[in-house]
This record gives sequence, C-alpha cells and structure tokens, in this order.
Amino acid sequence: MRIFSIDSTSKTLSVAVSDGDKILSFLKNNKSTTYMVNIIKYIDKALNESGLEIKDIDIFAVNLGPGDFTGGRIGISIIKTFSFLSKKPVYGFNSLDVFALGFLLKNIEKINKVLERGNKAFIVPLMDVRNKELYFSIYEAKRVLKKNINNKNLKVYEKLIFSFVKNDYFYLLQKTFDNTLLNQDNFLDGFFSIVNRVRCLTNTTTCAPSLENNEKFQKQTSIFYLTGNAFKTFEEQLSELKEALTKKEGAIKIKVDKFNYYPEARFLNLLANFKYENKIPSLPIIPIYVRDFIPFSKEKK
Amino acid sequence: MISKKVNKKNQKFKNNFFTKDESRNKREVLILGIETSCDDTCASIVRNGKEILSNIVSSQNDIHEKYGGVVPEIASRKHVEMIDIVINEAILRSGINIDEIDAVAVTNRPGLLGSLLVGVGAAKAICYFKKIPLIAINHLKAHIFANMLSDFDISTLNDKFISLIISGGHSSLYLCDKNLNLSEIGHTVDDAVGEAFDKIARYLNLGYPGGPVIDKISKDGDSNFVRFTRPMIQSNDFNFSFSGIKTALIYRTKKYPELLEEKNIPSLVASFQAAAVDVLVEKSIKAAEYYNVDKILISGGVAANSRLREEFKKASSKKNIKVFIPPINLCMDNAAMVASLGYYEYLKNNFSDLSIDVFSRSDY
Repeated sequence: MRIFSIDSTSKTLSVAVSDGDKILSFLKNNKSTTYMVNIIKYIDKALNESGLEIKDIDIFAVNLGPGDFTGGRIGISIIKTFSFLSKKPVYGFNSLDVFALGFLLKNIEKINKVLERGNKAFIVPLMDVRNKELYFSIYEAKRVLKKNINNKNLKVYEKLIFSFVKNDYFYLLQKTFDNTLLNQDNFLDGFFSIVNRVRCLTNTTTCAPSLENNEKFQKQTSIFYLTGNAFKTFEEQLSELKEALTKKEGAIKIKVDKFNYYPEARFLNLLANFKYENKIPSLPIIPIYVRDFIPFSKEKK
Repeated sequence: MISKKVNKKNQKFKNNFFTKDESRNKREVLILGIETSCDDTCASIVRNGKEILSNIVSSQNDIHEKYGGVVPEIASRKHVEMIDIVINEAILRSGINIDEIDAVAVTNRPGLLGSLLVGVGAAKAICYFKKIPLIAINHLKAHIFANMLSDFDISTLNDKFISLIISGGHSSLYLCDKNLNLSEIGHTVDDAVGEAFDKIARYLNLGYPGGPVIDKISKDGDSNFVRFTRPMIQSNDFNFSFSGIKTALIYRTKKYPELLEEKNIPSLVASFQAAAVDVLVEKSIKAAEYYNVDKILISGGVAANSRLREEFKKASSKKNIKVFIPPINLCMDNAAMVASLGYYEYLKNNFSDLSIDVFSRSDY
C-alpha cells in the first residue's frame, strides 16, 4: 500500500511517501510559514524522490490538528481533493497521536528498559493551545511476547493506535486517557488526579484482589513521559508538577522531555498503514478544534 | 553560474505541471471554477466562457444569520467541510468526465484569507493531480464576467466600458478597456452599499442578509416617505458614501420614534433604498458620459436589487447608454463567473504558477 501524507499543522511543514511502513521519502521544512506557496513544491519533490506519481498512491493521510488553523486547512483541503480525484481512502489523525508515536519511536530503548523492570510507561503529549490552556492525552506503551499474540487478536486491546514488532516483542501504543483541556491555573490539581486515575485504571485488569497482586501493584512504578510543544510557555507549571508528584507518590514518576517536538508526516504514514491493515475507520476529515468557536453572544450587545 | 542552474531547475519545475498538447487548441474549452472568497462555497463547470453546465453554491447564510454578518472563522471552518463535496457535485451535475476539464480557475483575491486558501488549496491539488493549468482570478473582475454568461456578447466589446461592482464588500466603479484591463475610477469612501443594507436591516431587526429583505419589504412602501440626503451626488469625482444615509436613518428614527411603527417600516426602508440607488445610478451615468462610453456592466450582490434594476433601465433609455445586469442568481457570489473569466484568461494563456498565494486585497 503506497501512502502519501501531509502534516501542515505546526511550524514544520512535512510531506512523506511510504510503501506500507517503509518510508520512501520524507521532507520537512523547519522555517517556512508560507505553506500556500511551498506546499505543491514539497509534494512534487517528495513524490519525485520516492519514484512514484500522485496517481500511484493508494492511501492518503493527513494531520487534522489541533494546531495551526491556516496550515491545517491547506493540508486538509489538498489531501481531501487528492482523495476525491483518485477515489482512494483518506485517514485523518489527531496531532496528539502523532506526537505520541513520534516519542515512542524516538525513545524506544529508554521505554524498553522501563518495561523490562516490570514498570509501566506512559506517554503524555502536551500541546500549548493558547488561552493559558493545555491540551493532552495519555498513551500507554506496552510490550507483549511475540509468541503470546498475533495480528488477529490485537483487537482485544482497546483504543490501540499503533503496534510494531521488534526483537521478541510486540510493542503496543494504547490511548488510555482521551483528549482533555486543562487551564493553567488548575493544571496541577487536574493533572495529578488524572494521572492517579490512569494508574489505577490501567492496573485493575492485572491486579486481582489477591494480596500478592496488590503488593506487586504497590511496588510498580508508573513513569509518565511528558512530551509535546508546551514547554516554552508552561515551563513553570510543568516543573512544579514534577516536584509535587515525586514528593507525594513514589509510585509515579514524571519525566519531562524538554525538547519541543513538532508532529511529522512520516508518523502519519505509519498510523495510516496500521489503521488500514486493521480495518479501523478514520476520523471524519475535518479539522479538529480544541474548543468551539463562539464569536460573541447576542446578549452582550 | 549557480543562479542560472537554479533558474533552470525552477523552469523545469514550473513547466512540468501541465502537459501542452495539440488538443488544447480545440474549439471547446471546459473550465472548472472555484470560488470561496467569502461565505459561499461555490464550484461550476462552464463551456467556452458562456454556457453554464453546472453551478453549485453552498450557502452559509443560515449560520451567519444569527450574528448579523459573516464571521470569518466560521466561514473558513464550513468551507473546509464542504469544498470537496461541492466540487464533486459540480462535476456530477455537469455530466462531463473530470478528465475533460481543460483548466481550473480559482479566486485568489480579494477576500477573507481563511476562506480563500481552502478553495485555492483544492484548485492546486486538482491542477497538480490532473496536470492541467491553474488560473488565478480576481473576484471583482469575475463579477463583471457574470454578464458574459447572460446577454452580453463579448465580440461587441470593441470599446471601453464602465463597470459598477456593488456588493456587501465592495462598491466601486471601474473603467475597462478592450483588453479587459480594469482601472478604478471611483469607490466608496466608507461602507459598501450592501454593508449599509445589512446594517439597516440589523438595526430594524429585519434579518440577514439585509439586501433581499429590504428589497422585498420596500415593494409595499412609499419611497418618498422620508427624504434622505443623497451623499456626494454632486461631487466632482466618482466616489460614493453610504454610511451617511444609514446614520441619517438611525437618527431620524430616534427623533421620530413613530417611524419605527410596523406600518411605517416599508416606507422607511424604501426611502433609504431609493437614496442609495439614486446615488449609484447618477454616478454611473456620469462616469459613462465623462469617459464617453456607451456600455455599463453592473454586477455584485446588490445588482439583484429590483429598484436598482428598474432605475438603471429608466436611465439607460433616457441617455442612450446600454446597461447590462446579469440574472439574479449570477449577481451573488458564484463560481460560474470565475470559470467564465477563466476562459478568457485561458485563451490568452494567462496561467498561474502552482505557488500562487492568497491575498485579502485586490490588485486594482
């Protein structure tokens, strides 16, 4: 399956072409803000490098945001048109999924060590969505021995967004807490309670009421990796959170990856390939907005 | 040396996008027009700049109605949802095959940026995918070409003509030469005429859009009920002003609250409409006489106003000036006019690069 994807929802415009999960070409521009001018040039270049033509593409993928309104609309408008001209399917993804997968693949060694020790690893992409608000989801990274699982029984894992095989293991990325919006002022309390809830929720299945299991649960550390692009604006809140959580609860550790990541198109190809292979339906291809747009209320006048 | 190399590369990049073959010289040219400059998502297929095969308009009026005007952010959100559906519908209804389209014409200025970029993005994608040329269109110039789709015969167009474009966003007079180059000779110094209609309708709680509502109610009213001033009607230029009439109406109703009684509303808005139309007719005729031109082409949403159509008809028969007004559905924003102008640009090989941007302001 030849997949073509555009991500134009951040400062970085990126385009990728792949054959299944094998990336054939990937282009990204860190500086450009003039997407309207450059986008066709990038599309053409990426296709040329991959040796394919736009007509050869079987699946289209696009980042639906949240993110830059202008950029996102250009990308979605173009991908939608390609899909309608070629009568090929299009898959759309939430920015947070792209962040989470990007982090997992970049830090797979680190996460592997955590899992080896019997601890739990969570990925928390945080997005700065202005208005002093943070937007995030929580994903759990798991691994299962290859012999215990095959492609067919992947379905038992709910809200699975991606999986891949490495060495003896199946690695799974599961969305455990859905898109949430928290204000800067009550971020600390809100996030703390969510993290605790996630820790308990993800353990109920493995923790039967037996005493032995309960002890196991108490010993198990859950490590939350914070990633995303909110660190410049929310540095203060995040370091406060880190302090608070490490003091209060030994079982929960927060690690902050301070580097500001931007979503990249190549991860869209992987996500689209996974969705296609597992026959998971796409989100509707319209931009994702964090909040509804309310221009002004009539009462105000 | 290096710069030469780069240039060559760019050249190759530009020319590769559409293949020039002999069949392009055929007589029949099919243009797909796309228009998303404001709140309507439109697509249309037009044959030879004259024959409309399909003309789809997805209006957002009922969404913007509650705000009393177009909210740019909402308009843009709706365009993204509708764009591929509207284009698909235009192609299906026209009965042609998508591969038969010779070029795509798209509005890239002037308008709301968030809206324009959705249409331009889709147009670029079609041109890149189908390897056909892209034609960037000025929305105002396209409005004039709504006339070419009705009774105006372009072969009679040997001389200059005057064009009056009146809508919710624009009120301008243009002088157009035989090469279809526009030069502005007058414009509104404050509100556009359609904007004044909208604001009056909002003030009197008549609904949105204001133009059609006021037009309808006015038919039962007496246009001599209140004598409003005709601002700038005597001035030596071709500029307009409409916010003054609007303010006059608001202060008149504050001074005489009985004007706001239900029985007086039709006559009140009829009087306002008469004042606005008088200025438009007077200035357009004056411009035609000054430039010694015998044709006036009117277009834009306000050209759908029935009083304006009547008054222009009367004036033209008196002055031996021909006035052309497109049918009402072509007065509003639509993509057929974009496709029609696209045809004339196509004949002149006025193609745009796929790197064109969108602009909020007109280039003339």
